[in-house]
Amino acid sequence: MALVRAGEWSSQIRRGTLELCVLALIASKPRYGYDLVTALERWEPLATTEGTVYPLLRRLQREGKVEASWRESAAGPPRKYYQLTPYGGGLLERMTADWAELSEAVRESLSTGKEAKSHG
Amino acid sequence: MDDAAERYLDEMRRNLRPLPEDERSEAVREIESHIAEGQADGRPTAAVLAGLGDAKTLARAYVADYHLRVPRDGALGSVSHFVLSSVFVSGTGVLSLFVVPMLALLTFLAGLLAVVTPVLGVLRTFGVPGIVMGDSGGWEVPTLWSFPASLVFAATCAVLAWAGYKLLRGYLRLILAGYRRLLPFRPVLR
Repeated sequence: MALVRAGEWSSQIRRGTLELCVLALIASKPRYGYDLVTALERWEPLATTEGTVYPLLRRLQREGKVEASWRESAAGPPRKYYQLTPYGGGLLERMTADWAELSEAVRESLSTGKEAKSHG
Repeated sequence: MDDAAERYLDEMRRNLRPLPEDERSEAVREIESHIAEGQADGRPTAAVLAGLGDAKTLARAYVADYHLRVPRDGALGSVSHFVLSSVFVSGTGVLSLFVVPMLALLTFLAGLLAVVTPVLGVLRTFGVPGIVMGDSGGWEVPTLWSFPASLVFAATCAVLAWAGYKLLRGYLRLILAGYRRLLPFRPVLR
């Protein structure tokens, strides 16, 4: 039971951070879906079901955080390229700052917990 | 595209039915592109499809996200927004009560006259009794001039009807745009 709970917890954490990672990856250069999915696969904890990235991209586009355009590719069918809008760029900055703050706080609280354990 | 990929896309399309057509074809087109990229990358179709996960689950994620509306910054729950909305809705409501029926009546009557007058003009030319054309002072249009005079009158009415229609349309657009801006949610369309 505890294991199932832990799994649920990790998938929730991942879902929340996936948006940040996707925005950050798109910010570095315009990317199409497959490119984005393979980029995420470089980091094992971020490698989610590839399918989940696409509905997320669609929502980010609808929310005006990214914009997309279909471009012909030299080989194969056209690709849908995504890039950040100015709104998305501003959001990414704020999210990055929030994330840095949050992860720092989590790290500190975890190490405090450890210290208490070793002292006690 | 092979059979397995086609089946996957069909299954997806079927489960995307709650979405508008353009939303659905856009989603399917992108997944189709993903499959083609994977195949070009040298991955077996089965592996690419497994990576995407169940077609039904994927389609459901699209549908669920589509219905997830996004609150606009600051629009929800602020006092000034509430007061502004109230003033706008009641103000334009009272205004519309007069403007809309008047413009609609003008358009309808002018349009009707534009159609009927030339017919009456023709009838009067051929001596049908009971049709009066003239001013209130008792002056009357000569019988031979009935049709040309009716055409001039009808043209004036047609211009009026057209103007009334345009005004009404413009007015409704303006009001509806105002209502849309007041919505605490962004429309889900692109």
